[in-house]
Amino acid sequence: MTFLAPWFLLAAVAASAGVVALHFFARQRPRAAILPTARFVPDLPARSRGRSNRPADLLLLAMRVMGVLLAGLAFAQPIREPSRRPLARVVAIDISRAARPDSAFARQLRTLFRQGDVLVVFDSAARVVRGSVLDSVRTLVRSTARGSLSAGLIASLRARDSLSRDADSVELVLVSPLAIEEWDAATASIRALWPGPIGLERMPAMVDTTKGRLAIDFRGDDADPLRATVALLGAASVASDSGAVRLVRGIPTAADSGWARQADRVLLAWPVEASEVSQRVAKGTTEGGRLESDTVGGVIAGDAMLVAQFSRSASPSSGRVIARWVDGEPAATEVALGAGCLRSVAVPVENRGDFALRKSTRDFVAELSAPCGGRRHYTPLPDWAISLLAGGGPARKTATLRRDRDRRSPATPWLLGGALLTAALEPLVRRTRAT
Amino acid sequence: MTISGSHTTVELGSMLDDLRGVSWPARHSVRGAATGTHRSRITGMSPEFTEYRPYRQGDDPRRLDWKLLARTDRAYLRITSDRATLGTTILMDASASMAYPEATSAKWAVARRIAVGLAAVAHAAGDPVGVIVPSTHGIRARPPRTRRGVVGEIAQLLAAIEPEGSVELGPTLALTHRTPRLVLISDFLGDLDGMIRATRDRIVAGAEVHAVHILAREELDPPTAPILAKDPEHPNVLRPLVDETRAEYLAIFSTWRDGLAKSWRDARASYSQVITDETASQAIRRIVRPPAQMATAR
Repeated sequence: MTFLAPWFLLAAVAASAGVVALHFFARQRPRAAILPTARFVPDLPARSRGRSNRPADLLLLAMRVMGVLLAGLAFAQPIREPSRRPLARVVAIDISRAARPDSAFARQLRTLFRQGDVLVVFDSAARVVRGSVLDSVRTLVRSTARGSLSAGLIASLRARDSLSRDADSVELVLVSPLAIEEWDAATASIRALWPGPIGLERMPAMVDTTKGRLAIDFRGDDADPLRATVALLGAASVASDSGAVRLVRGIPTAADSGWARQADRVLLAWPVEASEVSQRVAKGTTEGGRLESDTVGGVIAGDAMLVAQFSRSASPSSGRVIARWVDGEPAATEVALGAGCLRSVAVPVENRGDFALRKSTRDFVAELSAPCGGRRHYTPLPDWAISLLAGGGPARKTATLRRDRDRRSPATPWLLGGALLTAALEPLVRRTRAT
Repeated sequence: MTISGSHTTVELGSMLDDLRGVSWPARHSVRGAATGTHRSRITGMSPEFTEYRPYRQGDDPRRLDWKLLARTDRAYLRITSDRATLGTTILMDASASMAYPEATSAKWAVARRIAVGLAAVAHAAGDPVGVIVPSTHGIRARPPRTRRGVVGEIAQLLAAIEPEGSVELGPTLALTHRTPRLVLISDFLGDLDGMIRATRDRIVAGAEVHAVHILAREELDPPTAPILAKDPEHPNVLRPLVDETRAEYLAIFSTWRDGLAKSWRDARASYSQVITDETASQAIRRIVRPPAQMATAR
């Protein structure tokens, strides 16, 4: 058993000692007794100060001491602590696209776990694995999403709170390739919330096979301005099934979808309807025959920004936003399609002027042609970031982590009730003893 | 001597056996007319010769010692001493202060035993003996008698009394004006001045007065636990008997007892203290013991 506020108990013990002392010295009304020669006793006040070698009225003394101790115990909030392990472990395993665990590493992973440890898996989001942790480790499936160390650390912090009740100390082991794409602006701040060091287990990282010359399979009219853009990109316009990107100027067919599903391929669905409509025709309500225009001056994808006077007439289908108009509206989205992905682009393309020939247009198209899930940065984190993650010092005791204000002792109401009952009975007993 | 009544027999039998043969001589010559064991003030025709006195005209010629006249040719009267009875009345204090300690009422028990013992001793000498017990319910009394069984009656009367209330003994003394010997058995915590005044008048009138002061051991040596001492006859008297007041209480009580003894002795009464842990027979022997110097015949 332990106490949430033990100094209340110490104060109660001190107060009880004071009560005992007062029963030796306090002014008290002695018990009335018949004595025929009472007239010869000096006429002092009935409550004369008396000192005796033993405390007077043991029953009253016991009641008062019990009341004080019960009140002290109530405020000290005793709780029954279950048996605690000296050290518990949170193991956060990276299952993002950057991770490449092999069988040997998987065997090594299983040795990290002991009974009661918590498993956190993360890619772009994190979750705590319930149930048999060792079985879960065997069945982990690599995700295609970009990893987020911030998400893994936050889930680990939550898992630590659940372990603090069962263990004296909690440590974190982070199993990840520690790729640079998994570090974001919040990672350092979130790391600072974990007191003590973090054990780092370096997992083998994937190799980025998407680097190299961009190859775009353009499916559209020969006079389509985007064909010129793709050509100026240097992307080989390969009319075959072996490319990494297929740009369809219209509605993709089932064959196109099947092509994207088979491998890590990008299917760009960039309809031409917007370019076939007059530039000045805009979506909106008619009012007295006049139409309101919906124009926007630019669109951003990754690091590429395309500035022009666009008349928006369509919106992309729902999915992960990969390009936004400058007013924040989505301009292009991506959804997973088997092993690949489908990107829906709602940016009208000017078929006049030098729109298709601009470098910004080429950069924009290159961004839209990035691998599924965005550009890959599997390069390991720099040493300073790894040192920041690792930290130093011993595992922090959970006693300092526990938020006692959130805990309540179930015995407190009963102890307080007992103290109040004793306090209520004390005057009755005192009067009875006096008479 | 026997006393009827089963419980009084058990309680008092051993004490009375212990008192067998104890005599209670009068402190001075008595004026009684009845023949008894005490030296009488009236000289008479008893065989006990004391002195010769020359015959004077008017003396009873039957008292002439004719043998002496024949031998010496002088007329002398033969003077002899006479014996008379000494009626004894025992006045008992049955106030609430006598019922102490509360558990045993030892003071009243001792007082009863002493009263019965003294009555037995007096009755054995042929003296009339009686008892008067004033109480809140009236006066219960047995007039002095010499008949057989009077001691038992006294014992039974006293056994039926429970001390209670507050009663003054002084006014009751007037009922004993014909009794030459008066025994006051009390703790004298009542109207002491009135009692001594009334007693002094009786003594001046020729009575023999014995003041038997009953004291409880717990009054002389109270328990050390602090108490709020409460007078049973005066409930408004509440005094704390604690460590600080104990010594002073003992001193004041001792001074009062000494003063009481002096008052009784100054009044020419016999004063005896009896503590509850003293055996009654022992106390009675002390009470009845004659003083060092007997009063001369008047």
